[in-house]
Amino acid sequence: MSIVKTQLGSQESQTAVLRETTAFGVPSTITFPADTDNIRVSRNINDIQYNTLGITVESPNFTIPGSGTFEIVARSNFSATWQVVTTSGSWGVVKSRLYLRNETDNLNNVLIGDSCFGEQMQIDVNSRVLPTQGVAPLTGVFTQSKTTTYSLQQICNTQFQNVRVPPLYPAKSGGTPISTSSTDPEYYVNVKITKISTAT
Amino acid sequence: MSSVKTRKLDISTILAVDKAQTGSGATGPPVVGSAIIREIQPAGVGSSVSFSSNVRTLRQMNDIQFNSLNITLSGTPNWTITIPTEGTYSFYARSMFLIYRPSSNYLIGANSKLFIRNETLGLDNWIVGDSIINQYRLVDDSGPNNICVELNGIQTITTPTTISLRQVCNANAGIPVLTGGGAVNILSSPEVYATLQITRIA
Repeated sequence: MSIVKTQLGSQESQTAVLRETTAFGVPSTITFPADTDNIRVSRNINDIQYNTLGITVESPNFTIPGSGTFEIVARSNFSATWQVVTTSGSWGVVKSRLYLRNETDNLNNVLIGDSCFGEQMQIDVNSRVLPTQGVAPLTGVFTQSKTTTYSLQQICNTQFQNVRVPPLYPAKSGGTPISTSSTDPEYYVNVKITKISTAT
Repeated sequence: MSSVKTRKLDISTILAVDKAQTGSGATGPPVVGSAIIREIQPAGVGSSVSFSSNVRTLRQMNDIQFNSLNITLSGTPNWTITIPTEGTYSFYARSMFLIYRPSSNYLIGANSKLFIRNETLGLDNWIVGDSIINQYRLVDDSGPNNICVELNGIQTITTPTTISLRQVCNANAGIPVLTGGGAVNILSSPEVYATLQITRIA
């Protein structure tokens, strides 16, 4: 029996770490529409790394039981494979935001993450357009008065300038494998949720 | 003679106590003081922060997303944060800087670091964040790019304490324009350029 204690009390911290994972070498199953902006895509939360909150996962959603006040820190990957052939004065970037959505009550913006840009489109010495990536973070506190189901949603919009006309939009996904020599699973989303009060 | 009584606990009793402490029963989790403070702007509006070399520039913390610590913000021009109660606190901060090329430089880049300054004690390096380097070669032009900088640390205060979140951002290549973050302008949501999470842990 393992009890994690805080210095503020003798009770166990109620916390959970959820993830979106795939097998080693497998890209994220998440894709974002290439040529349409502002589409919310649910991240495929499918793994519980730690759980003393009683959270259940029904991919892509997760359910937090009971009522209370909760702190959430989330990070979510994204990547883009550029299809454009750049011309003079061209650049491209993917802009992304993360949202905590209340599925039970149909509330889109329980929390909204940082104003995030991915890496800028780059070209190597052989004039190849390189894939780019980024991480969208979200930190905040929310309350619930009853057992509630949530999803972690992400938007990835493309902005570029002076590319070939008509523009060839990049393929955007929820993350690419890091291709290390290990055989560890890939993790593309990490969500830590801690119950900080029973009050609502 | 001691009157202390001993009680032999079997595993089912221990597990029952554990369940009562960790479930959603009467005991519940420890109440943790927490605050989430942010620098925000309306959708489509960039950060007002701009950087000069080696200047510890104030992040303009102007929004409280959550506050059970009774923290107060001074607002402009000092942008300070006052923690009213002694204790030990965990600090996590994250902020952006925007970099782009104003003219013909084929290589631009910047270094950045985040600091929490203890304004009450006059300590610049009360907590120092990660060392972030951004440098990239450009073919011909540069659009904007937001880079994320982070800080983690724990400090104890014995009196009400005023702090500020500060960031240094220096060019390391070319002459880039550096500001506190560019707008993503997605779905009319307010822009978030810096976040400070304060949690009381003792």
